[in-house]
Amino acid sequence: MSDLRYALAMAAFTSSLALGCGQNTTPQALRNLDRPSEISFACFGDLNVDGTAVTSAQPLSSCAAHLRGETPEGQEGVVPPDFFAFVLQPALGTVAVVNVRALGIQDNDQLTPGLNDIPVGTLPVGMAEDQSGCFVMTANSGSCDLASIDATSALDLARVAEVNRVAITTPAGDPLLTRPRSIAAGPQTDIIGEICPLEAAGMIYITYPDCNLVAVVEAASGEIQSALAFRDTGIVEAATDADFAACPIQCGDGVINVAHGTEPEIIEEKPVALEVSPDGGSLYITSETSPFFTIIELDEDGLPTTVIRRIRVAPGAEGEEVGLRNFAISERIDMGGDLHDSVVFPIGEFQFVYAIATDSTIRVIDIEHSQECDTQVDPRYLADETDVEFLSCMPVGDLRTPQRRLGAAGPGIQLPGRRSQGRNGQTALAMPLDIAFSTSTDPESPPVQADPNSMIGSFAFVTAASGQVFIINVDDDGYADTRNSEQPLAATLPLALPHQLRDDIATRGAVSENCSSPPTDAAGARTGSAPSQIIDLAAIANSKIHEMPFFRGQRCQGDDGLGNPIDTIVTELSFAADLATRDAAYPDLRAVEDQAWSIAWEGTHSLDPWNVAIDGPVVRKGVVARDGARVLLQDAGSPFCSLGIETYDIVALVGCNPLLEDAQCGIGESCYVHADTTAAVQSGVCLPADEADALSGTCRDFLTSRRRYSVASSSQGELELVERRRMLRTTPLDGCESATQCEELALLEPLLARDDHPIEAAIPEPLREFSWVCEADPGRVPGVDRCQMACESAEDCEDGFTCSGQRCVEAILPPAACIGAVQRYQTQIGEAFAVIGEDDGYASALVAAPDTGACIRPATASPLQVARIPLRPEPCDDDGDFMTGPNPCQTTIGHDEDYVPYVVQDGICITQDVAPRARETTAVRFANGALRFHLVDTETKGDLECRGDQAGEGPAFATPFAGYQIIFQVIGGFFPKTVPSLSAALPTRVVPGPAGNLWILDQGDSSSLDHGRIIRINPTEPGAFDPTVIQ
Amino acid sequence: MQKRVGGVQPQTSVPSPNPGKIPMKAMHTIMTALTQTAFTRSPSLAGTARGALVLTLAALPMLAGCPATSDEVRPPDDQFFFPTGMAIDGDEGSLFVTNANSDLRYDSGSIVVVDLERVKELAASWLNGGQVPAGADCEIDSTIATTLVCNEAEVIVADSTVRTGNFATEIGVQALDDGSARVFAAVRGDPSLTWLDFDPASRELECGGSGAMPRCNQEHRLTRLRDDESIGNLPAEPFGLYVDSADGFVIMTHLTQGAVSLADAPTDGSPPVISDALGGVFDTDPSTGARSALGAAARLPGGRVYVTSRSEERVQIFTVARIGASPPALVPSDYFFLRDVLPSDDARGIRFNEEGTVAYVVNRDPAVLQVLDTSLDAAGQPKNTLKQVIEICSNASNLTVGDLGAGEKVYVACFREGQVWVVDPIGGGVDAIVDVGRGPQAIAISEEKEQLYVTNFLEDTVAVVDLTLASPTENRVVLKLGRTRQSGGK
Repeated sequence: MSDLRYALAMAAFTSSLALGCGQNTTPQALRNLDRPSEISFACFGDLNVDGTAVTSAQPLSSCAAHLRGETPEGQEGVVPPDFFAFVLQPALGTVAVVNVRALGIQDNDQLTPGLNDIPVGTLPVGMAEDQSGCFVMTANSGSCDLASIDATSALDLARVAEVNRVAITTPAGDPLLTRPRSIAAGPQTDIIGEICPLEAAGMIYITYPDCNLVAVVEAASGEIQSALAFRDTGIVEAATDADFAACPIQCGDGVINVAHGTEPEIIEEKPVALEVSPDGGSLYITSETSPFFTIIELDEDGLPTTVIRRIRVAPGAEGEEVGLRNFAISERIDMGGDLHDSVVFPIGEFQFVYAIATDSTIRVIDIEHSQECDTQVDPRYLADETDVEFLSCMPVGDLRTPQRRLGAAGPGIQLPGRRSQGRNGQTALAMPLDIAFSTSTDPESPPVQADPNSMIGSFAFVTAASGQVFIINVDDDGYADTRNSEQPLAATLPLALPHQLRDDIATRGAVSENCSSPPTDAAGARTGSAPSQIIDLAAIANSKIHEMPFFRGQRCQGDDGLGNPIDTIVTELSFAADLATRDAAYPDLRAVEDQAWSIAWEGTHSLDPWNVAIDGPVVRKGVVARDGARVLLQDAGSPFCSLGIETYDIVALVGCNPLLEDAQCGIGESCYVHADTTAAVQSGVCLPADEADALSGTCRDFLTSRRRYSVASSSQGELELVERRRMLRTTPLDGCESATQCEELALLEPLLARDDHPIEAAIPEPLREFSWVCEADPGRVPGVDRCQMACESAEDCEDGFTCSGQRCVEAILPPAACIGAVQRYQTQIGEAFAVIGEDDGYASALVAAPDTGACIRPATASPLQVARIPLRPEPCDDDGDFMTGPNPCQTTIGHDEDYVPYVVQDGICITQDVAPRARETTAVRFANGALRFHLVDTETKGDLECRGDQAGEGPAFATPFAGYQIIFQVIGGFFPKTVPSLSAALPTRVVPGPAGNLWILDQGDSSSLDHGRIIRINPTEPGAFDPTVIQ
Repeated sequence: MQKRVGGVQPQTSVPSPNPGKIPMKAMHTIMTALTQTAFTRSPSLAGTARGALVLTLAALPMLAGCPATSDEVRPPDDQFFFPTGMAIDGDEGSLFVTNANSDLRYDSGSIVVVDLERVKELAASWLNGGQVPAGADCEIDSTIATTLVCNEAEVIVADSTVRTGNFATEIGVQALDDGSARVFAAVRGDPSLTWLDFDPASRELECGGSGAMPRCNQEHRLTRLRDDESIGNLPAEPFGLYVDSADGFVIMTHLTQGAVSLADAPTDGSPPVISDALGGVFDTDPSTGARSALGAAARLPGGRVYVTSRSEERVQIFTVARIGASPPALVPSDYFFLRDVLPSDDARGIRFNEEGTVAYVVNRDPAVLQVLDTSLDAAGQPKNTLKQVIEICSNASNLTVGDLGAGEKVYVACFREGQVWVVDPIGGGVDAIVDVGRGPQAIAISEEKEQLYVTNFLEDTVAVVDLTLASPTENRVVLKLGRTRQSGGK
């Protein structure tokens, strides 16, 4: 019989295709599903009832037993029944039927062309099977009633599906005409061999968020047996007649002259999702407007008792209360234990709730201990933690629970969003939609250690609005539970801890052999190739690049297997660095993403290309205004705190590109380049076309200058600009002593760009004579005097500079007439390196002070939320704990390098063979959420006799110049494991189905040919998950 | 790269068609309008458009030989004909409806004023009495017993109708300092930003014309940048509109140019002037070649105007800069991408809630309503992050937002389905699907009157949906203004 049904199902499934045979027209793609939102399962087939063979719906346990190869008692000789799925389609108000074996949609009206579904009512929002397994109930929000589908008639192709509409009535007998939101049912009977009842059996549970009620309804009659009211005081208690009377009338037949219902109250708590435990003993409820997860004990009749627990989840990242939506309950899990180590006994059973919160995170609740688990603890604090029971659920707010990692939006699990969408170091989040748990145990095949495709243990599958399905390790029995301090890369905490996204990269513990790179893409975090330095030969000679700040070097030695020694220098971010160094360089794998990084001296606050929105456009537009003596840059978009602009940063009015004519100027404006402009200034200024010539005199100094300013103060929508003086690059970092000293140091500045050895160099005759003074610079960080160029007029200054207050400046404060147009501008870090990740962006911690809007760094900012490296930060703590000490910080550190030594003979430097050198040098240690490294040689005294001797005797100075940049690519970062090849558009539901599969309802239009699909995956096939699509 | 459009050679504007003659330029406009209108994604409208084109082409010889009189081609002053845009004045007493004249059966489009008090009166009488109100030219809908169908003349204010160019789209209302109002309409046929003054007391619209049902004069049809012939004309295909009463400006999007323009619109009653325009704001869709700016709405307070595109997944934010006595300028600010739900490169309407903390964006590809958190972060910038996504109908376009007491709801017009979807943006569900008529386009809400108004472009009606909470007719069409036009005309 079952085979005949299969054949009929296939015939029905393919009948519409057969219609096209023999015709010349192009067949239209059939949209068989329309926004499927819910799925329930039924078992149907042959059944032995007291010796009589019937074809009937029956409890799911019957099909499950047959699937396991077992025959239920009394069912010997019966052809095994089949699973079927009922799929809810709210927009159509119908239920589609899917034959699980044939993976096809059944036609429920073969007399009507096309695939026909079962109409159930208006806007059905939820579905559940009754206690007998013979009926499928839908809750209809458009008609405020239930539909009871007789599964036997629906699945028997020889019959018409029978659907009874069931009105819902209050205990007082009045109709309840309020819109339901969701529905759940108690467990099905395990008794197999009974005839189906005439009406639905058992209790069903319905949420009424607009009435703040959860009702327990007798499935057969629709009569409410009991109800729970969620008060705005946070109390949950039995509902009264008054509660029902206050429920709004939201459904009607439109008959005129029906009395209106009462105005609804403002409801604080809106119960929206619910589930009954498999044993029928508990009812779980979430509310989208409150942070409580409610657990209600049910009696043996399925009615609520007074035993109610409410577990509160923590607020979101900004302190706002969250609500809870869809959720899933795990089985009882034996946490801990790794099949590879000697730990035989797991540490105990836990049962978890994963609930989607309105802040787009997944909150984890430990049901046993009524506590929320913090899943975002910074693993830097857990290196020595070995208590697996504690790690299984680190309670939120507990004294023992360390602080969270940078970028954590609260304690919940975060799904990574699309790249290039975050801001200020915060990762964009993908919005979770639904969750299902899956447990995989296969003692015959022990898991392969640290193989992402070897999934033995308990896992959660989470669908997201991005179309992806993420996998979360609840308890991975194929991986260690704690960090291995002797092999730090072999067991990494972000991969070991429970409730973490599963990583999809194998061989994380790989180590370099003979200083080599890993043979495949799989391996730990590392730089993809040696970092690059972007240099300007007009600022530093090629032979003197060693004087520029760079990564600390580490010597790596080995042999190539043929007896040839390998001796090379690697950076501490390299794969070939020693294990301890690599571990320190990437202390939180979860925070490391594959991306390019830039460390740029006085770099811009943003590197966003046109198709990225992290830090905002590199060149922005604003208004420069004069307020008395003050000059202000105003941007109505209020970007300055978000950009991270601090006092003494730089603003450049970039003007217009004359090669583009007037394209970058406003209407009626032209891109004006003053006749006196030198090659040092490449841009023009937009001026009113009919006034440009007249303004050329007034604005000459402004037009011919570099138009760069220092920031005197910053607030979210306004920067005060002051003049920025020409400072000598070889100014001592400890401050100059006199103008005479500055005059002498000025002779050294051009030598940086020459290859001459100091002992051989003849001080070149300068092309122009400049004057220098030693004094405080109001446009730079105070504390030391600096060498600055002095002048009487602009002719005394270098090209592109002008004279103001007897000092050469990069621009004068512009007269109002010269800034009548919207200005294009760019901001840059002042006297520091800007650290920007391609996807992490510039991790500014600045916020706007509530009263003034001034940009400030809050005291609560994470010490890792830093993005600039000054040359002289505060000294490091002795223990180098950057989580408590300054970050960045200055230290002295050992540094390995290869260098070219020289021997001086008769005043000439004679080149020797390249030699290794280990030296102590000044360094700045920097750590952000993803990386930790040292920049060495951040200051130098230069060379004494020959290049590279590092023996200079003058005051220490800094060599970086504007445009100096270090670029490197980090690869091997965390890569979340997702179900591949899904191409889902909007996977709103994931439901465990028969035989351990997971059924994903894709409600979106994945193409122009469909309005929804069903995708079945097998979580025990973790490689590809064997997806099957039904549409 | 965004380019200023100043300096573009002035385009020859479409002259007012003489009766019986359709100049070649107008023919080009007809062809363009019928084939490139935003509505041609709808097969039904495409069919209607093609049908209209055939009719038009077929009629040409007849027209050439039999010129119609001006009266015969003058539009009616008390009817809807291809109603597109709609806006409510600040007092919620009047509803302005643009008639696009999309089949060019008349010589112009028009703007009519609907008396919302009269609409409410008719609806209340019907709902309370259950019978056709005495003396009203109405009847009960033959297929939907809960809907009363009325001649639109019952509600259109007599002698207030004015004539505009063809193919008007969106319309917006600005409150003036003296208590009156100014109405702005984007008119694709001209192309122009047409403006009219409205006196709430007399309910009269004034746009420079004279006589019965006057035609808006040239001064009220802004076609040139800064009113200066040498600078250039307004970019073609003005479509979306945002009108600001507080800061006195109008931002307009251009459907096929990817351009955005700005008009200085003082609230002291001075005439508005188009002051700035930016071309190339959005990139070209590589698969279709289209380049489009479409929806515009402002996040208040703060004055940031968000503009969507149907050719690119980017949402561009603009501010308006006023420097001294210079005309105000459009300033592109930040932007972000609708990438959290697949690349969403066919965004349509956008609206904010009253506090400016949430934005609602209708997307067609994928067909979802995206709910964005636009509250300010600690640094003072809108977060612009996805907080909810709801699957909606396939051909949604416009939307409106209202809170009638049960929380904020989003009302989305679904053109092809002929429906309005009522969406709960917090719960993420659909509260109701309302059948409103063929081709719902514009949608407006009056919280005070507890009514929703929807123009049905394909049947020349305006549906009135009852939003009264806890009412049996909540989310049902209780009134339909205008007699349904059958396919091919009335």
